[in-house]
Amino acid sequence: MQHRSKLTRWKERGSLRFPFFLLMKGVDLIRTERSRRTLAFYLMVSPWVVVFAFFGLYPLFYGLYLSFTNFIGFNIDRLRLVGLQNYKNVFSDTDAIYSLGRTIYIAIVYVPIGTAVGLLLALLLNRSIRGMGIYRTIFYLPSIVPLVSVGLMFRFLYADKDGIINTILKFFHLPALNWLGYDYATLSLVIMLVWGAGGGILINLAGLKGISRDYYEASSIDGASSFQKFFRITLPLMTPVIFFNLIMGFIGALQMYIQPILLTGTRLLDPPIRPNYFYAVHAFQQVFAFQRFAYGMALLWIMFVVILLLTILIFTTSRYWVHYETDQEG
Amino acid sequence: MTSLRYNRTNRFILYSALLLCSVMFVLPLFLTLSNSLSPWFDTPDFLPRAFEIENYRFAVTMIDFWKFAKNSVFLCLITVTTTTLSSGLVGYAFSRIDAPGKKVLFMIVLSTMMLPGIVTQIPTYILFHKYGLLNTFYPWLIWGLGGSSFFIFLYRQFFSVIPKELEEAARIDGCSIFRTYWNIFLPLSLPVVATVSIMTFQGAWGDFISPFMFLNEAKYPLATALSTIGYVYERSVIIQQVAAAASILFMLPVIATFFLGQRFLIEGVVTSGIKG
Amino acid sequence: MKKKGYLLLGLIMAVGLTACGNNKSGSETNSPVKEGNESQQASPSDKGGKDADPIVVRFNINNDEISTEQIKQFEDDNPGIKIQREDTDATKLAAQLATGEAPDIIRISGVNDTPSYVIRGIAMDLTPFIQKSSIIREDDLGPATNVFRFDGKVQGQGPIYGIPKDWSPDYTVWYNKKLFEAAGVPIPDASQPMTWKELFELSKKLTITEGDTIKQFGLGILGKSEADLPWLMTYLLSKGVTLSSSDFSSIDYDKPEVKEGLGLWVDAVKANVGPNQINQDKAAWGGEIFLTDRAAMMLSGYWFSGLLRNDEHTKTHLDDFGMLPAPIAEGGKRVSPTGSATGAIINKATKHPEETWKVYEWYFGGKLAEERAKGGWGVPAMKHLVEMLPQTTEFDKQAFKVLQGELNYSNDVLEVNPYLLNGDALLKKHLTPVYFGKSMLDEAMKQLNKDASTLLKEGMSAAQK
Repeated sequence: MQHRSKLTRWKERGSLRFPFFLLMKGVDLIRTERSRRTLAFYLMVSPWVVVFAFFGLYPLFYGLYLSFTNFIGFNIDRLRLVGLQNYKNVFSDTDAIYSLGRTIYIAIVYVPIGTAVGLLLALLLNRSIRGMGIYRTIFYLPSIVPLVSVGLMFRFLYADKDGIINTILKFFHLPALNWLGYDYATLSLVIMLVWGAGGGILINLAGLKGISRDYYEASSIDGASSFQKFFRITLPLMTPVIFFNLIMGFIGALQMYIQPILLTGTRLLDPPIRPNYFYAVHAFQQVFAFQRFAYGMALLWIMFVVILLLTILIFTTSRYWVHYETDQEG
Repeated sequence: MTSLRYNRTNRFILYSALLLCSVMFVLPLFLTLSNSLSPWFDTPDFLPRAFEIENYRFAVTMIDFWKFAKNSVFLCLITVTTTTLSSGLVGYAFSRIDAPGKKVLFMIVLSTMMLPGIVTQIPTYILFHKYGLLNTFYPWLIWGLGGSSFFIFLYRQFFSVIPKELEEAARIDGCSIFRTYWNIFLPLSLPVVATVSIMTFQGAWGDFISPFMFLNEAKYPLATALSTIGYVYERSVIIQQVAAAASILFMLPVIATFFLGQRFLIEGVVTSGIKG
Repeated sequence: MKKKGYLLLGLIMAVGLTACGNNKSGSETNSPVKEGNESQQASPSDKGGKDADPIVVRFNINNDEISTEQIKQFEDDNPGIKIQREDTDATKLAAQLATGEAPDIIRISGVNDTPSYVIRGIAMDLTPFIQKSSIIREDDLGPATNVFRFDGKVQGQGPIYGIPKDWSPDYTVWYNKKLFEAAGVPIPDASQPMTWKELFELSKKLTITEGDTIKQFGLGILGKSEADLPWLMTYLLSKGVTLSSSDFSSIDYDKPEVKEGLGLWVDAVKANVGPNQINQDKAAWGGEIFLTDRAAMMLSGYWFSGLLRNDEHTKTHLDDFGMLPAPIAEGGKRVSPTGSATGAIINKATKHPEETWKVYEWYFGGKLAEERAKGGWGVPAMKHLVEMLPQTTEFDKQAFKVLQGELNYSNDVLEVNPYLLNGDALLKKHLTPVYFGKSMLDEAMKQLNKDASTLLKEGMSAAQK
C-alpha cells in the first residue's frame, strides 16, 4: 500500500512532479558505460512502469480472474469460480469460431490495403503548394467526423432502392447490387474502411518530414528519377512508420467493433449482418447485450493471445525489412 | 518537395487527385451539416429542406453545453501535456538505449493495447473507489504521466531513424543521455511531437467512456455529455438535427487543432541538425 | 522555416511549463481537481452523520425526464434533501453495485427489468411505503403498476417494486388519413381491433412503390419495421401461449404460434412495408417517416399523441391523424398490454430509505404526475389522473376515447424470462438471416433455443445465493 501513501503525500504537497528529473542528474555519476545506460533506461521508462504497476496490473489480474468466474454483472459479492468453463465454451461456441475466422480474413484483406492507401495519400499531401493545410485537414476529416455520420453516409451510398451507387449503376445500365446484403457486405465494409484510411496521413506525413532532404539532393545529383528516389530513399526510411501502421492496423482490425454495426444499424446493440459479424462484436454483444461479463472477458483474453502471437510474428520478420539506426529486433 | 518540377500535366493530375479525394472525404461532414440545418424529425438527406440555424441555439441551450466544454478543455490540457512529454521520454529509451529486459518490457507495453478496455473497466472502477479517485481528474493526470503505449511505440519508431552520428556527436560533447533526448532528439522531432499532440488531443476530446465510468455528470466532458445526456425531445425520442448541430460544434476544435497543428509538420530541422 | 520551427517548439514547451507551474502552485488549473475531492466527500457513501449537511439522494433518470427547476423546487420545499440526477448503464451499474456506489433510485423498464432486478436482490419492496403514503395509494394504482409486481414466480403478482412514470398500451395504431386516401383504402373501424394479419395486409396495400423507389410506407414502428421481442410476446399473450417453463429454467421458441407471428413480419419485410435492413431506407425509425407524411400507419402507444401534438409539422394538420385499437392475434383474445412502462425502483442498499422515498413519492405521485398527465405524453400510473389527459381538440377526443377502450384490456403482463436479459437482441440476430432468405424460421428458432438455453443456465447459476 506504499503507493497509496505516496499519492496522499503528493496531494498534500499539491505537487505531482516526479522526483526523477533529480535522479537523472545522479545517472551521470555512475562510471561504467553499460550500467549507466541500463540505469538511464530504467529511469526513463519508469513513468510508464510505475503507473502500469499501480493502475494497470490490478485491473488486469482482476479482469483475468473474473474470466474464470460466473460473473454476470450483479453477483460480484458472491462470485463462484468455474475453472476453465468459460474458455471451453468459447471453443464450442460456433459464433465465436465463425466470427474469429471472419475477423482474421478482413484483417488480412484490409490492413495492407489501408496501410498502403494511407501512405499514398500522405505522399500526395507532402508538397508545398498553396492551401495544402486545407487539403490535409480535409483528408484527415474521416478520422474526425463521428463514426455515426460516416455510417449514415455509407448507408446513403449503399442503399438498395435509392442508394447513390445503385442509381449510378442503373444509369449505365449495369445491374444494381444489394451492397449491404450477404454477398457484398464485407466488400462494402472494406471500401468504407479504406475510405477512412486518411486517418493514417498524420503519422505518415510526420514520417515523410523526418527524412532528411540531403538524401534526396544527393540522389538528384546522381540523376535518380522520382520512382527511384521513392524506392531507394522514401520507402526504406519509412519502414519504421509502415511497421508501426501495420502493427497498429492489425491490433485495430482484430478489435474492430463499431464500423460493421454502424454500416447495418443505428444502435450499438444492433448486431451486424452475418458476414460482418466479427469476433469483437460477438464479445461485446455478450457483455453489453446479455451481460455475460465473465464469458465476454474469456472471449477477449483469447483474442488477446491471438493478437499477441500475431504481433510477435510480425516483429520477428521486422529485422529483414525495417530500417533502424540502432539495433531493435534481432 | 521542391526538387520535383511540375509541368502542366503533373499539376493537373495533382489537383484533380486532391479535389476528387477532398469531395469524397468532405461528404460525411457535409451530410452532418445538412442534417443540422433540417427541421426536427426530418429524414436525413444531402440537402436540407430548410435552414434551421436555430438548431445550433438549441444545441448549446438544451444541455449545459459550455460547462461540459470547459471540462473537456481541462481534461485535454492535462492529458495532452503529460502524455506528449512522458511518452516521448519512454519512447526514446526504448528506441535508443540498450538495456537487459528491454525487449520483454516493450512487448508488455504493446500488449496493453491488445486488450479492449472493457476487461479492465469494472476492476479499475473498484481500484479507483479504494484510492478515492472516483469523480476526480487525478486518473487522467496519472495516466498521462505514465504515457500511452500507442505514442510510446510511435515515438520509438520515429526516434529510431534519427542518424546515429548525431547521438555520438552529443556524447563527445559531454551531453548526458537525458540531455541528448531533451536538447537534441526532441527538438528534432517536431513533426512527431505535433502529431502526438494532435492525436492525443483528438483522443482525449473524443473519449466518452472513461469519463462516463469514473466521473459524475458535473464533471462530464462534452463527448460524454453528448453521448449520454444528448438531445431528447420526450420519451427517448432523440432530436437528430440538434444532435447533428452539436456534433458540428463538437468537431470544430478538433478540426481547428488539426489545421493549426499540421503546420508543425515541417521538414528541415533534421537536415540542419546534421549539418550543424 | 527553421526559425518558425523553433518558435513553435518554444511555444509547446512554454505550454508544458505553464502546466507544471500551475500544478506546483495549485492555482486555477488545479482547482477543478480539488473541487472533485470535495464533491467526492459529499457523495452519500463517504458521508458522516453530520446534521448540517443535506442528504443527497442520487436519482438515476434521463435528463429529459426531470428538470433542474423541478429539482430546485423540491430542494426548496425539503431543505434537508438534495437530488443528484445521474446516468448509468449496465457496466457502470455493475461496478457501482460492487462498490456500494449505486444510485438510490434506478430507472428501469417495468416490463423487461422488474423480475430480474428483484431476483438480483437490487430492488426494494415499496409496499410498506405505499401503505403509509397519502399521495400514492394502492387502490388508485392503474393496471401498469402490475408489471412492477413480482412474487418470485409470476410477474403481476406480489409486492410492488416500482411505479411507472407514465405508460401506454404500446400496440395501438396511428393512422394518417391523407395517405389512406392516396392509396384509396378506407380507414378501419376504431371501435374494434383488427387482427395482426389484417394489419399487415393493410400495410401492404398502403405501401406505394414507383419503379424502384418506395413513395409511401405502410407501417412504421419504433425501430426498423421488423419483428421485436415485446411484439412477439404481445402476439403470444393474445394467443394464450407461454414460452418459458414456470421456474424459468427453460424456454422454447420452436412453437407454431411463434412461427405464425414472426411469419407475418417476414412477409412484411419482404413487402417493404417500412424501413428495414434490406431496403436500407435512410429513416432510422418509424417516427421519421410518419411525422413527415411518408408512412400511413405507425405502431405506437398513446404517448405518440404527444409527439403529434407538439411536432412543428404534424400539429398543423392534427385532424388527419387518429388512433386505432391494438390488433389481436388470429383467433386470440383481445389484449392491449404495455411493452415497456418506464419507471424506477429504489436501491435496496440505499443508506437513506426515508429521504429516498420522499423523492420517489414526489416524482411519481403528486404534482409532477399531474403535470405529466396534462401534457398528454402518456397514461398516468394513477387512475384518478387519467381524466386529466388532453380532451379539447377533435384529435384529443378521438385518441382519448380509443384509449379508454384499450385500458380495459391492459391488465395482462407480457411474459419475460428474468434470466434471459435482452432476449430482443437474440431474437433479432436470428431473424436477420430469415429476412435475407438465408435461413428458415424453423431453423432460426432452433438456433435461438440453443443460444437462449446457454444464457438461462448461466443466469440461473449466477443468481444462486
